Amino acid sequence: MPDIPITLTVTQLNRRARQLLETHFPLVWVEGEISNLSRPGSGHWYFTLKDEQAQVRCAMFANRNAHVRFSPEHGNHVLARCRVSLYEGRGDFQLIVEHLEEAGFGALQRQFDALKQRLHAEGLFNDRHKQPLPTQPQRLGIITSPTGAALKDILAVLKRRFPAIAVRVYPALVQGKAAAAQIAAAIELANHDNYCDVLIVGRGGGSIEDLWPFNEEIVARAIYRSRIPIVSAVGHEIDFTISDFVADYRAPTPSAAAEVLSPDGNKLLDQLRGYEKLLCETISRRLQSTSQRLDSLTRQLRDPGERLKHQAQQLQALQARLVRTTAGQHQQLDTQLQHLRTRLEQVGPGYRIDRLSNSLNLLTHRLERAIDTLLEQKKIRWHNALQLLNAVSPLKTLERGYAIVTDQQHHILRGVATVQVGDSITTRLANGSLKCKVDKIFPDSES
Amino acid sequence: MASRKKPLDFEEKLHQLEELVNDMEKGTLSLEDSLKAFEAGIKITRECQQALKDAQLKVDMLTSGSSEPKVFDPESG
Repeated sequence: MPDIPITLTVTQLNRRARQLLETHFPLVWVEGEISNLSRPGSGHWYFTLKDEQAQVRCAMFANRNAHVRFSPEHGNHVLARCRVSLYEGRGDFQLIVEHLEEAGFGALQRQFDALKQRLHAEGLFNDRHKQPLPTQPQRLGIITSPTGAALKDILAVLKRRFPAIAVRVYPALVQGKAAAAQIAAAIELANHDNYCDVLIVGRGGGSIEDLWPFNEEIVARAIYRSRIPIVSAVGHEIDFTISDFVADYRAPTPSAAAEVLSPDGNKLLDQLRGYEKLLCETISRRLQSTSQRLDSLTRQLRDPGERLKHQAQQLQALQARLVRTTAGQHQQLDTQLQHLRTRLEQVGPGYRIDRLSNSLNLLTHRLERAIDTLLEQKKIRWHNALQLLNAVSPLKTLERGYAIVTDQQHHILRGVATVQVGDSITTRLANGSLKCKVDKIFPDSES
Repeated sequence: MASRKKPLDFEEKLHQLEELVNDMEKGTLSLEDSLKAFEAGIKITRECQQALKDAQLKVDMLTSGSSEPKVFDPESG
């Protein structure tokens, strides 16, 4: 280090020290435990990182700590990516933290990522190796803790949906150091047993450390080797493990795995009822159509009769047509005849007779009137004559006291000569007649 | 547990049913065969329905130490 003056101001010293530190240390990862954490209103974080023997002051500015995915607390074991620096104002050696993560998590995460990448490259996750799940498993193997929540959940789902599945449990620890080997061994055992047609490998939710056995290579390889299809069901929906990637199917939870593998009993019952109905409908349709066909064949057997009937009908129809036609002709002739008759009547004697008869009637009428007139005239003349006659009638004379005497022969007696005693004579007076008997005759002396 | 009944293969039974119904619907079966198919179909349906109604969840456990599975009672777990 050339050109360093012998005497430096504190400011100069601190600046040079800072520059030295910042240029000589690249970004470093530092692992330690958080203490003396303070988060003032400025948004920056200040804390101390320490291990058993040493400690160092740290600052994480607001623009960086906004990206931190957990809320650090006193005592947290963390991993910090930082620049090494010096706070000139106080001469404090400090780390400027760029990135902060939980130490355990970070380490496991890197381990996880590395294994995932390796197995992926090896082709363990390849869809080509995925075996199809049976649509209706009959024997289900479960690899999990016999006392865990996962097993209870799975059995509850099966009981509800489809209890007709036989279940075999292959017990294994699912957390702790021994777990991975036990899980792998249980998968081997299940394959050796070769009783089940599908396996569920899993456990209930927990911390990332709890789920860790399912991120172990030994488990991944056992799953990959399994000839029995495997459903991986580890933890909660959001947790993905290596097992999930290798398994033939990844279920978000143990319950979900059971649901995927068990047919819905109620749905099956519905389906069965549907088939039953279909069977009944089909057979009854078949029976109906058969009996219909039988009917139609029976009808065909009666064919001659039907034909005769048909022909008779035809005959009847022809007859009817014939009758109709003849009747039509009759009517036509009739009309013609009528017409001719009218014409004949107009030109024949009848017509003239009528005319003559009319004339005759007219004349008769005239004649009658003429006679009537004549008679009337005669009657008047007769009446006049009668009156005249009346005036000269002997009856007038009778009224004056004369009488007309007649004999029995109604001869007027003009003298007594013709009368004898005892004769009956009639004496006519003006208002009547007397029948008289001649008692005595007195001839006139002169005679 | 040696005489454990083979679990009913519902999938197979359903498939059988489907086939029976298909054959019947095709109408190529003789009437007698149709009736036989119908009877068989109803029998399968009844069996399946009964089996579903009667089914009890059977669980056993096989550990690496033993050669025979033993009955597992989830309630005691």
